[in-house]
Amino acid sequence: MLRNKTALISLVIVLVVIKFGLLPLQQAQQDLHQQLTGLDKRLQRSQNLLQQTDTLQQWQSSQQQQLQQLLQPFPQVASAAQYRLLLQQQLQQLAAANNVSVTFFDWLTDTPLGVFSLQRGRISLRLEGDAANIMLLHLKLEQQFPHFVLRDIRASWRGALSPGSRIELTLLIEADYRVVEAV
Amino acid sequence: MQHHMIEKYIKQPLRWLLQKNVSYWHQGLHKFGYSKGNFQLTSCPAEQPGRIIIISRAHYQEFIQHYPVIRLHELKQVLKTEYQDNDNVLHFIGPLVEQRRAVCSFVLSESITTQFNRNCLIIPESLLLWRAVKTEKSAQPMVYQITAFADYFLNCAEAIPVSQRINRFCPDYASFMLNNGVSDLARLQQIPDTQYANYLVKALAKALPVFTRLALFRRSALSTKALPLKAMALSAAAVVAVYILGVAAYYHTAIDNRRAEIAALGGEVNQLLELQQQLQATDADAQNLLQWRADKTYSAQLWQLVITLLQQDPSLVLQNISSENGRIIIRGQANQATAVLTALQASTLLTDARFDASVRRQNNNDIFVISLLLAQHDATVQPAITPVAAVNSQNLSEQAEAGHAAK
Repeated sequence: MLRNKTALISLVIVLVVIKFGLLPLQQAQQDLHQQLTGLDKRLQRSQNLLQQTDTLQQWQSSQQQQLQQLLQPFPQVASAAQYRLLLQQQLQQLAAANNVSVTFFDWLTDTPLGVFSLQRGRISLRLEGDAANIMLLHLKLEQQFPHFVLRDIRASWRGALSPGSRIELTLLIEADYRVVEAV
Repeated sequence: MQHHMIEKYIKQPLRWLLQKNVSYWHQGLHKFGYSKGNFQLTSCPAEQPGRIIIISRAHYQEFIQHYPVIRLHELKQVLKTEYQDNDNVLHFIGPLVEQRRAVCSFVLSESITTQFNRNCLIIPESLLLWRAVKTEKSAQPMVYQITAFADYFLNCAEAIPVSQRINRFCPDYASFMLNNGVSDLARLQQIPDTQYANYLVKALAKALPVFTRLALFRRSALSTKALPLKAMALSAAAVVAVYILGVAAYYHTAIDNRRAEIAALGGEVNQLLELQQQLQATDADAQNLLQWRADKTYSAQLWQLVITLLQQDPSLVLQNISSENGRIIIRGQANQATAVLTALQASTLLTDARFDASVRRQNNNDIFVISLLLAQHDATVQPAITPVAAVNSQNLSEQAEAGHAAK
């Protein structure tokens, strides 16, 4: 009985040592191991990044070129209100130069795109003029305003289409432009 | 006559095993020898005893008791408790008779057990001999008198061995009968000294199936030496502590080293990291912008298409043009709407043309709705409508008007 008692006490002591000594120690060691593994990975990533310095710089310069090319079509303006007025004037001048009259101009909405300070304005534009002039103006709009996206086109005339026909061309235009704050 | 092969390959090895591993102990070590078909016991005090040692009757005492315990394991527990202070006891438990069991306890003398310095099996000679020559119930009860080595009487008619040394308490057979209640019918037989070794060998052979019941396992003093548990526990604890400290020190040192290395790289890495993130963000923004403007379409070449159509078909009268879901819808009438569609499909300025509604015939003209998808060319590089084209368009329009007038 005495021997059993000793054995039981020993067993209890061993279990207590395992529960409150060895297991927490093992957990602590596991935490340290994970911490070390994380630091190893971080160090490895840092070293890899340093090795890629040249690549990143090349990427930066090529990206700047591509970005410049990408943003080239978009006009830079100081404010949206100013650009609305300017664009209306430009369109009217272009129309007048082609013997076409602007019968309707409405700036419908203005929405920030959230990239590169770009804004998207939706414009409803109605033009009226001779068939040849309207055709030419349509082409010039696409050529001279590369930042335009013509969403909706509606052309109507009376009778059969001829050079003398008066065409009414209604366009829904999306115009993207960059608002650059004055420094 | 036995075959010589049996002698060579069975009996000789068995004999060798017996002589090497079995010893007899009486006032010293005796070994089994073999000569001319007989075994002899010869004294060899200087040799190492075998693993099996038959102990002479002179070296142990027998105590016979009856216990009213039916269950065998309970009886073993009782015997264990009764002899708890003595490790040199072998109990031979007899069968259950009238709710009792007879037990013969062989108590080995302390002096003999200390002689053996390695693990061995100790067999009391009276128990071994009794097991070999015990009398069947139907046969005549026998009492053996052994005069070789230790003089003693052995009653083989009982369920357990009963033996008594010949001394002043038991000088003769009559005293043995009286002391141990031996039946008058029992017959005394004396085992010749020269044959005693043969008897023991035969008894060993017969006892093999129940060897564990007849022998006491004796650990040598060296084997039974208590393990240094305290020292072992301390050593284990020290090893564990050193291991824990070593591991902790390793991890902390390694972590400090890594942190120092990262800190040394820190400034440059942070700049590069920021640059990388900035580049990735710019790339993502550029992709988004391209995606938003991916559906940009150029439509000015539509007029070139219209002019070509009017040139080809004088009967063609167009009503209006509109766009819907990226497709251009042309409404008009002509003598043959299919001819208009065929002319359109032949053009390289578009990629797809089809009737968008059923063609209706009215006043010898087909009224049609054609939807088409313009081929996309960047208008900034597309040649403008030339004056020649404008003139052509004028001519074609005149032709169309002439056609209408004729109608």
